[in-house]
Amino acid sequence: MERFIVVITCLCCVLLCMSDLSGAEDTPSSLQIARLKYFGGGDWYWGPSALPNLIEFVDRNTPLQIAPEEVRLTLTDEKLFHYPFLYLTGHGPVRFSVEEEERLALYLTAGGFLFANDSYGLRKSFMEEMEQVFPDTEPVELPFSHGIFNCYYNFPNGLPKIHEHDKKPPQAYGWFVDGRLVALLAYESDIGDGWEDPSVHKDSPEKRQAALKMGANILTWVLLN
Amino acid sequence: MPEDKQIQLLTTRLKKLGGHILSIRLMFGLMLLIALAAISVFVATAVHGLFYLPVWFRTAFDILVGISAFALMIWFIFRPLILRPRVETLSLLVERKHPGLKNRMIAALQLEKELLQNKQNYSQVLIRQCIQQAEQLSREIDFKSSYRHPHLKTGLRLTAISVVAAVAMLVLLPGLFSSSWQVFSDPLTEIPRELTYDLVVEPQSVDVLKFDDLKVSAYVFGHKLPEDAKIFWKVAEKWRENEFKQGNEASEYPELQSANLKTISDTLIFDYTFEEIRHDFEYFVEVGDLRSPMYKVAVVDKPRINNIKLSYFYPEYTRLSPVVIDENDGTVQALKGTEVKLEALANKPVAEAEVVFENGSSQKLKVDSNQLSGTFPVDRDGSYHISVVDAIGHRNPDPIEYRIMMMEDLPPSIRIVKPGGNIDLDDYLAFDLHASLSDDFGFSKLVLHYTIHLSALEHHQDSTIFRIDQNKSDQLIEYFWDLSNKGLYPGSYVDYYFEVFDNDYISGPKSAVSRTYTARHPTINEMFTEIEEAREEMISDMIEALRTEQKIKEAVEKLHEDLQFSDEIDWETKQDIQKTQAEQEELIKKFEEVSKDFKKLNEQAKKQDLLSLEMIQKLNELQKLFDQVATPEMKDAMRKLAEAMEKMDKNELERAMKEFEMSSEEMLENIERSIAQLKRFQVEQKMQAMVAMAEKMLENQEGINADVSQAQKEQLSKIKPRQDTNKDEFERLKEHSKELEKMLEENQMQNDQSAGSFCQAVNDNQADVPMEKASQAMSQKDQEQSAQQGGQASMDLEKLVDQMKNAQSQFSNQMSAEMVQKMRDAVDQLLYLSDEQEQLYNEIEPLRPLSGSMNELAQKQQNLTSETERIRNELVDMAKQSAFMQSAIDDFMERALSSMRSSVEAMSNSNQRSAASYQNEGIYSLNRSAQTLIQSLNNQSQCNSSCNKNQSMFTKMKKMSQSQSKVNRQTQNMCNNPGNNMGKPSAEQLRRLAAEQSQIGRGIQEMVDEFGNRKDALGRLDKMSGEIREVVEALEKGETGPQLMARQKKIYSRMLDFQLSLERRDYSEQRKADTGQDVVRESPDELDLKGNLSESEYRAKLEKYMQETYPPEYENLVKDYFKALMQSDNR
Repeated sequence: MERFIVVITCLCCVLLCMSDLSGAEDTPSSLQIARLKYFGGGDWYWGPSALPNLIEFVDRNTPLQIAPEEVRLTLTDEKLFHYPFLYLTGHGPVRFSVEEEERLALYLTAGGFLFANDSYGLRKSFMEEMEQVFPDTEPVELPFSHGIFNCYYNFPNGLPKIHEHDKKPPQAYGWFVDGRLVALLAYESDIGDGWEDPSVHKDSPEKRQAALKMGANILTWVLLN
Repeated sequence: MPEDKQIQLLTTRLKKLGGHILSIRLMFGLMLLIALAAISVFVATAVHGLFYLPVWFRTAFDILVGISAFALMIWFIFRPLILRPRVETLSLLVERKHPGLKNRMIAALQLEKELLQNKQNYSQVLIRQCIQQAEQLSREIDFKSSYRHPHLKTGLRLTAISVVAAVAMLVLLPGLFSSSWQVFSDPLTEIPRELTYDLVVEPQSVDVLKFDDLKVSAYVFGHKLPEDAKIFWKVAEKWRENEFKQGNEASEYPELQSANLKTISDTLIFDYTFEEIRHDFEYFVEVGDLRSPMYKVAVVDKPRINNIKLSYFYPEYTRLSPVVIDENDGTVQALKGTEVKLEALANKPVAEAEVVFENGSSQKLKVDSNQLSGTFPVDRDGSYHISVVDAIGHRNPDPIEYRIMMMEDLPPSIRIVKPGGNIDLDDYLAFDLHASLSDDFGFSKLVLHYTIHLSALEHHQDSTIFRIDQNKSDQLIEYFWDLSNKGLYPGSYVDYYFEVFDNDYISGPKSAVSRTYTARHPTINEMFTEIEEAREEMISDMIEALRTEQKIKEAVEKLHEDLQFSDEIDWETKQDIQKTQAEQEELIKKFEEVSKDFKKLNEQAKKQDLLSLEMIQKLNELQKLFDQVATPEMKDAMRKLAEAMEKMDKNELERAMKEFEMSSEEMLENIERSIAQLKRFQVEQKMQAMVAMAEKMLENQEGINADVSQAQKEQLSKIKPRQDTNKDEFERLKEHSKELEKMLEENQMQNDQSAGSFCQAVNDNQADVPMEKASQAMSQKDQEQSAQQGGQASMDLEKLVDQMKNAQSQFSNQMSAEMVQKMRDAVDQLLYLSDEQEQLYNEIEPLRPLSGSMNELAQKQQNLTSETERIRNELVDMAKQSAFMQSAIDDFMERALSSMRSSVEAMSNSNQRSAASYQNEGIYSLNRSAQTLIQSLNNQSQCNSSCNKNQSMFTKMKKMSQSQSKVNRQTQNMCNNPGNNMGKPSAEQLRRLAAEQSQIGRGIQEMVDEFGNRKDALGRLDKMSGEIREVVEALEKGETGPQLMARQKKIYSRMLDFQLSLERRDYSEQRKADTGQDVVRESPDELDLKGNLSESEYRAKLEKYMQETYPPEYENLVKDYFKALMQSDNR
């Protein structure tokens, strides 16, 4: 399997290079965040104001240039590889088809990144699906010293706790391919909810700020690594 | 002549003599034999005729005759044949007779031998001479005359006499001769001695049925009859005997004749009866010197049936398996047409068997020893028995008569379970038609008969044949009946019923028909009128309920008063209380019924598209009010009253009565409020219905116009009824307008400008004129005029619809705006009162008891109380106008008033502390009133804004859901319904369904585009869209089945949920998310990103990958990549 992934990775790199060289017209001119539509029952559309707010925050507070509108796509979407950052959120279970699993493996090993925000009840199914995507790769909990917590804003205690779920500490699980962080799951933190309009969850400005800053850190880390 | 010739001649002549002698002797022997035979016959016959000849005599006689015959044959036949005389002897015989030969002949014969050998040396010449002399001398002699048999004549005489005697005996006594011949030919057989009587035994050897009696009769006839007779029989190797009993006269025995006996007057008959014979035996009869031969009596069983087995082979159409009846019971109970196989076992081998039916007909059974088998059909009620005959002809006695009970195939039954009554069709002119069929053995055909009534004069009949599962005896036919292509228009209807035929091919299929129901395409006017009338009736009921409740309240007040002034509860009071209580309970029940009816009515109105989203929301609020008319407090008060009555505790009863009184007051208010709101709602409903009517009329008119433009002139008369119906509808619209004006007046809204405009628009519109002209033109087959006037009518109606909608919208907005304003004012006033009350509280709180300013403050408090009462009355009025006013407001206002009044009273009593406390409670209640009123205000505002915002989404989703419902039912019909296509639906049907489903999908996608920015809508719409795509794909691939139907059902459910959430305004409810508390903990372990692979292991893996084979087109590429990796690793 390892060998297969390596081969596929090589091929993808080649294909990506070729597609870059060909200068496809549909390729977005600036970085655009894509919201991942998935099946299984979870509400992938949860928090419609989240990404616009995050993008606005990043635009205002960091040197990153991100397209103002989010894109919604599935893993089988032919334009998947145009978007290096995928955002996945929701409350319910996530289920990928075999084709989607292969596409996600290809996407992540080829340089893409997936950020999953467990808004509640998503962790278990997401972990199961990622195990199918990377059978030989175990998720690891990121230490507080990891760059993602201090690449732009400093989070000495790791992920900020935005919303209460099961009275557990927030945890950041990462999947690494060739030493690169390719996927991140924010568990018991719900920074995605923290990005939403203040009126939605009535979060305090401090909590919202913490969530947005952590979001900025994730984007920064992904784009710089 | 030479000597040898002479001697030869002589010899020949002598031999001839020898032959002559032999023949005479043989003839003599034969004569003796004949004589012996004749004498024997004669003697035997004579002796036989004269004497009883015992065996020995006959044997000896036969032997003697035989020996004699043998001796005669030996002596007289065989001996002459063997001992023939030599030539010399014959020569001597001749010379003795003829002495003139002088012995020359014998000498010649003797010397002739010497002539050749001449051993004695005789003279040859002499010899020859002798021969010549012999020849010469004998030449003239007849040798035959030389022999005479001495007894020939005697023998001949004897023979003749004996033959004559025998022949005479034969001729004269042929019987005796015959008898004699028999006797002597079988000498060893005993000849019965001839007696003077004879014996005949009947029945001699015989087979007797077991347990039957056997009468043995001995007939003795002749002379000198013996007087006694005995019968001997042997049982179990032991002989027994018994005296015969002398029987009756011979004439009483007809068998005597049949036995061909000599009828002699002197006859004796002896009888003996063996009773219930069980075993075989032998017997003989002895009468005098006579003994009968030995006879054998064999006991035989009667044939009978020991075992019977029936097997039923039901008619093929029943599909019932053959059934074997094991109970050894021959009773047949089976369906008509059943073939019964009968297998029986007899107690003994039988020769023939048959089934004999009650009508005398019979059917042969196949016989194999004692096994019988055969079949017969069940075609009537009756009976049968099995008749068998054994090898000796015995028939089974008293056979059992078995019943044949034929069961008829029952007729089928059919019932229309859905809709199960007359219905009004919806806009899609399609509905689910479910029929429940049942039969005992299945069906052959199902037909839907229907008559389409387009007008009073025009109707036509048709039918649809369903191919149903003929093998299922109970089934539910689910058919989605689409009548959209049947030319129905508002006012027309369809009568229909099912007819089902069973599969009884024996008696012929029987049929049953369902009840006839009607599916009507109602006009909007009819739909609305029905609902309006029902609501009016409901209002009447509620007004009646209001009166009843008022009476109850008065009765309760009086009872309460009476109770206060009496020391104990008397019987009459108790009865009155119980009566009041019962009336209240009845009223509550009635109201619960009204609430249910109200809900049903609303559902109906919703289904018929007579409600806008805002109206639905208002109805939902109104429904809550209806549900709360009988408040929990009222129910609690009634319970307490019942308990107090049971305990007969006066104090407790008083308290309960007080609570009951208060609850009754509250209920009265609720009823009043419900009536007021319902009346107001009727106005809005009427407006909405009128708009819908106008829209429908416009739609119908456009349809008529389109048909007119495409129709032939001759067809215009067929369109005319539709035009007339539309015109009638328009006239009814005007009537509704008049009614609306009255309703506005009743509800004191007559001055409302927008309502006036609404009515005015209807009253002023003249669409009926072109409609009438169009109708006339259609009668005259004037197509141009029909089209022209129809177009004018459309334009007028279009204008009318616009005017009505605008006026309705203005009216609705104005009403809402007024109500919102009133609520806001009321909130301000409540908050003002609360502030004032607080200030008063702040003033009174620091006062000392019995302070002089208490009276002044009490006056202020009184003023505040009066003001609060005024506002409360305003709020009560508002509650009658708005469904969003929460009833809790009134509760809080009541409490506030109560506290404030108590505060005034406490102040009057200079009880500063108590007054302050009441004021505090008053402030709280006022604030809660204001708070609740704000919520009501928000609800009212939200309803207005959200309804305007969501109406479009609601309407679209409603249409989508209706379309989806239709597609679902079509799919279901196609997959399950045997109607027109048994089994799998055709590709064409699937394509059509896929197209319709796809159309819905596009509609949903348009909604996604339109409302996708709304978080409350996107998720749901997106899910629907995805699921619709899957359904379309499945339909295109022909993947029909339960899974597809479940998916479609899910889509439909989502659509309904979506509408429901809009109706209930619950889309804005947020998922609860509590803000998290920061958690400080230790960091997880540092990462080991290289994992456990050492550098050498990493390199080993790379080298291993290099050795692998890859697809030729990628091999170089991949290996180059690995090489690059290894080189970079080196660096």
